[in-house]
Amino acid sequence: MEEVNTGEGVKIIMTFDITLIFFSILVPSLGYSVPLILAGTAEVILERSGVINIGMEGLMLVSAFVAAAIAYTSGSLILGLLSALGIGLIFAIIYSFLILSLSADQIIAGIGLYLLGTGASVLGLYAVFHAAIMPFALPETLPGIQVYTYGKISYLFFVSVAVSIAAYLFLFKTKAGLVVRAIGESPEAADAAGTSISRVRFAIIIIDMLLVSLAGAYLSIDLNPRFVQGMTNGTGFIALAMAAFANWNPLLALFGGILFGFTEALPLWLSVVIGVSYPYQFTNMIPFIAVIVVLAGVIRRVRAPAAVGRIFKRT
Amino acid sequence: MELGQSEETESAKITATIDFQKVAESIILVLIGFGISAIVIQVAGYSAVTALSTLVQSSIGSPSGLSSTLWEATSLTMTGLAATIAFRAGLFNIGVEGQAYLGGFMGFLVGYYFSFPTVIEIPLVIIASALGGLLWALIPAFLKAYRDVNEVVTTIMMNYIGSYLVSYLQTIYKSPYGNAAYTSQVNPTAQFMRLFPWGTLDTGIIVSLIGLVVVYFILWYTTIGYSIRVSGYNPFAARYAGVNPKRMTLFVMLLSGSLAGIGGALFTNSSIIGHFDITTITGVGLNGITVSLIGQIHPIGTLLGALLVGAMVASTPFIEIATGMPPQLVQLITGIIVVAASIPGIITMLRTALNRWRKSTQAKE
Amino acid sequence: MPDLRMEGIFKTYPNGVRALIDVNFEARNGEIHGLLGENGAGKTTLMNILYGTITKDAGSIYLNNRKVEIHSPSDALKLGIGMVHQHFMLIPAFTVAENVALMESSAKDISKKLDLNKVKEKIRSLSQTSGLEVDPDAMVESLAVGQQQRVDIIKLLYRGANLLLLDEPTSVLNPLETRQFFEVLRRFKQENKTIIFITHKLEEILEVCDRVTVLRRGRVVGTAETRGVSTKDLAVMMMGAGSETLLEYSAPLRPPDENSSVLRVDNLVVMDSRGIRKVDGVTFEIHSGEIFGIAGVEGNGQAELVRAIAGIDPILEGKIYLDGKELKNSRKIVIDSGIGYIPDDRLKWGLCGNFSLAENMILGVDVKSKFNTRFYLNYKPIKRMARDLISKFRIVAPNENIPVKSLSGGNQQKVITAREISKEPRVIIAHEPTHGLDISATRYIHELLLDLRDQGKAVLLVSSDIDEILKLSDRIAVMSRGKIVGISRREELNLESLGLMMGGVRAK
Repeated sequence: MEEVNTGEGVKIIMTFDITLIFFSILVPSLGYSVPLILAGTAEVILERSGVINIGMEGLMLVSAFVAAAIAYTSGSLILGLLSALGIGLIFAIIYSFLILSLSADQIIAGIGLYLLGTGASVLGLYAVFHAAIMPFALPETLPGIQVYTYGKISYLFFVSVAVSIAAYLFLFKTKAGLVVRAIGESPEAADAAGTSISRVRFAIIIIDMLLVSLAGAYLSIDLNPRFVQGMTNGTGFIALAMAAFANWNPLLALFGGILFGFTEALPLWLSVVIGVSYPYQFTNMIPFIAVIVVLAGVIRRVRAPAAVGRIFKRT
Repeated sequence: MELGQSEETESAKITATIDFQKVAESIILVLIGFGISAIVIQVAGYSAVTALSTLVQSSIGSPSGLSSTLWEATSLTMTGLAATIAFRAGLFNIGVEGQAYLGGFMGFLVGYYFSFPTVIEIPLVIIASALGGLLWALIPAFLKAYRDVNEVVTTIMMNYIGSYLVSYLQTIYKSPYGNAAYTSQVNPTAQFMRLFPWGTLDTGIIVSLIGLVVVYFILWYTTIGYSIRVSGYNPFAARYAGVNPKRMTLFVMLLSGSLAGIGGALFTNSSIIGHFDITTITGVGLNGITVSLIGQIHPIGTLLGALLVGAMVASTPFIEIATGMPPQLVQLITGIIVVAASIPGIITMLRTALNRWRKSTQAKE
Repeated sequence: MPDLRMEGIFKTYPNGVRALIDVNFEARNGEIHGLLGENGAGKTTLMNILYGTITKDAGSIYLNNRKVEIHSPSDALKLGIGMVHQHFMLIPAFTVAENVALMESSAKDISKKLDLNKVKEKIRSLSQTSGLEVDPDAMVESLAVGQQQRVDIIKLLYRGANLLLLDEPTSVLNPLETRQFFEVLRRFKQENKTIIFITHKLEEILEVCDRVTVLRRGRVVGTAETRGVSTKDLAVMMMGAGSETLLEYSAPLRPPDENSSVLRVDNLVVMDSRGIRKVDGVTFEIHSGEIFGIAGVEGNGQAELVRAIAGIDPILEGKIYLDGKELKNSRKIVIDSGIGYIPDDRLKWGLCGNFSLAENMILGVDVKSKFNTRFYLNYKPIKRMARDLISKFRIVAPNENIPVKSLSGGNQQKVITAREISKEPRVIIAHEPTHGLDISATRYIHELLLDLRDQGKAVLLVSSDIDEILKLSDRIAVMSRGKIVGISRREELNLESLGLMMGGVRAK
């Protein structure tokens, strides 16, 4: 490995070490992929039942904050995690009430929850820590597999893979999954077959919100063990697009999550390991541009559950 | 005979006329927002009363406060109008945020490079900023019109892309003073000059008021505005009327983007700021959506909504001093308002709930 | 083995339409009982109440002499009641087996594995015993409509339904499939299942039903053994004895000009979103100074035909000619060509409820030519026109500024009609123009249409209301399954022959 110092202070690291190159992008990619896989899978399941959750980003922020704050003040990461899940449950109940009982518009309600979540997370930050940022990082993170000096693959990664596989099995191999998919395709037909649309959607919303809050908690107590304002940085919205990218198949969401996680790990890797210095803003744009490209159908034409976003009312 | 469900996403049937029911509804939305926020604030350990009194005092209790409120409302009116016109067509342009960034930056560029007399420069700023916003709405507009790609996600993505783009551009034009946190100043002729010695209100408010009149005029006094309102209210009637949905989508999204772009420049080129600093514009787009919803997506309501949200935004530094709460408090409150706004027929619902409660208490006696 | 009794059933819809008035209905164990009536007679409503998709206002339901409460399809299925709707309740993106698997009794166990093989086996055995051949692995959307219907029935058998409600099941079948279908029904009868067969096809009632109950405007006209009745009797029961209707026809002041074909439809084919040809090769022409009535039970392609001519829906094949020149299939062009269109669902297509009466007066109107303006919309002339029309057409409204949804149905229809007439069109399309209106409003609209005819306009009247067709039309065509089954002059028809045509019996 050679290090050459140029006049502008840019280090060019010349390396022939393939393992270094490979693992230094793989490990962070997997790290960034966890919330995307969790939230993406959650949204796939949810949209399969005909509901959209635009406000994921807000929920993730609140969960991230709650997890970090509780973990910090109580000293227990697990308690932080559980508290975040509790927040997910509360959001689930609120959202279900809004769209199932009050027939609220899902998109506007979602944007409202996004704003609310952003505001609440920062308010909480100030309330607990009286500062614009958490004073100290958490002393420890969740356990995982340490890969030499490249970083850690969190156990939650394996959990998220398991979740994705479980979601696939659930949707396509169980009777309950069939019912969920039926509701998303044609609530009228499912209703005529005797299913309770609201009951099923309520259950799915709970599952969705729990997964999303888990994703948020992971961000602040594992990946980057500290709560920073706006730390989700659009992950919740990228996960929205992932449902379409994955053709509403949880396994493809797994693949998509890793792919987008790769785009998020790319900037740092490119500049530090490869030594290319793009302005970081452009590499940061990549995940979002990728989403638009995918949605434009450049990749392939996909087909959504026919009833997504529609309110179901028996006439 | 078809089933009576719209083939498109069932969006809240947002309607045209101003009537007292709508005003009452807006008031209720705001009250719910403030009410629930108050509970949350108290639970968080802060004093809601202090916050509210500071809000009132700093926003309208003094000439400088009032001036600042109006100044904030200036930009919010434009982004609110952008959201309003999109909603009227049944479109969700969440991208007002990114469009405002681009518009603001274009306004900066004009002011940076050109130094024509104000009478030429300011219109140039407006045109350029409108163009910036329009360009940023282009991709989502085309994708929606021709590929039926939902505009919510695409516009949100454009927000993030736009944010990064202008952050980068900001460093290229960085000011010699501010550690690249913002750009150099624009030429004086490109600035909207302050109107009064107290507060921040500047001539930009004239632009907003003109924008208000223009949007109102378009919506109710032009053929295209009529088609917009029909498309948003009843897509079937729009088909009956012969409206071309692709052209409608493009027109509305691009117009909306332009308005948002101008909104961004109203901050950037304001003499109080006079340079491009993304932190000054952050939130103006999303707040514009709230403003529009509070205003029942009507231009005049948008103005009133802008005043309310402007008051909130203007008072945040004071609230922070008085209570310790961060400026994101505004997002908490507006978030709840937007959630409440998503419930259709909230007044009828409350009324029936009230009647039921009254009946049950009567039955007990 | 069910005995069904429904007593004193009442149902009024929120929009005021009284769908069922004191209906008593019973069906015996092991019989095929036909339910006959025109559109709007209440047959589907009655069955939907039985199946739990609609709630009744009053009345009781007894199954095997035990009173039952049915509030949802789930309740109905538990009681062994199954319904095959006119628009199948199937999921196109699923396979046959998946659609059937959905019907498993609702003990939802999350971890319960989806054993499609077991489902497929059961489907195959049901196919055998019932004679309904289906391929369990086929995607529903790839199936022909007749096959889809079989899947819908298999679903019910899978769930063990023994009281089957079939809503217009043969409307999508060709004669051969219909024959096979009747075989299946007879097999069900042997298994002691009870079948209620909703239809408007008189010959089929006589062919396969044991008894038939006739509904008319929400009331039961009578029940009869099919052995003892003829199609003629049924037609009369269905539409009411009505020599009065014959007298009401007012012949035109001048006979229509046979040589002036104003609107000509040539071999029109229109497909719906499912790929079915809802309009399957329709040809006719309308002359100036005549009312051309298309009769037929709703759902036979009339709506698609109307919307295609109006330019709202795309045409697959065929052409339309206005005054001999080809009329392009675009709504804007149709409007600009001076063709008026009164749609069947006024609040859905023809009005914007929250907009003012005046604002609705320009919906679908070419403002460019009428008010000579490209861009600017000046409400003064529009409001003036609205006020004129209010008085001219005697619309009951305080002023032209109130939201149109606050008007009564009849006045709403007057708004639309006034608007379309004021365009001074050469042709007017009136689709179910008096649907849901009271007598005086109906009479008024009828006068307007007759007036138009006498002025020399061409009127295309599409209606499922037989009285209306007979009263107004100079020539009548009947539409059945996307095709025109016969065009006659008014004088050549009487109530019975028309009823027979509509009942699917070809005119002799």
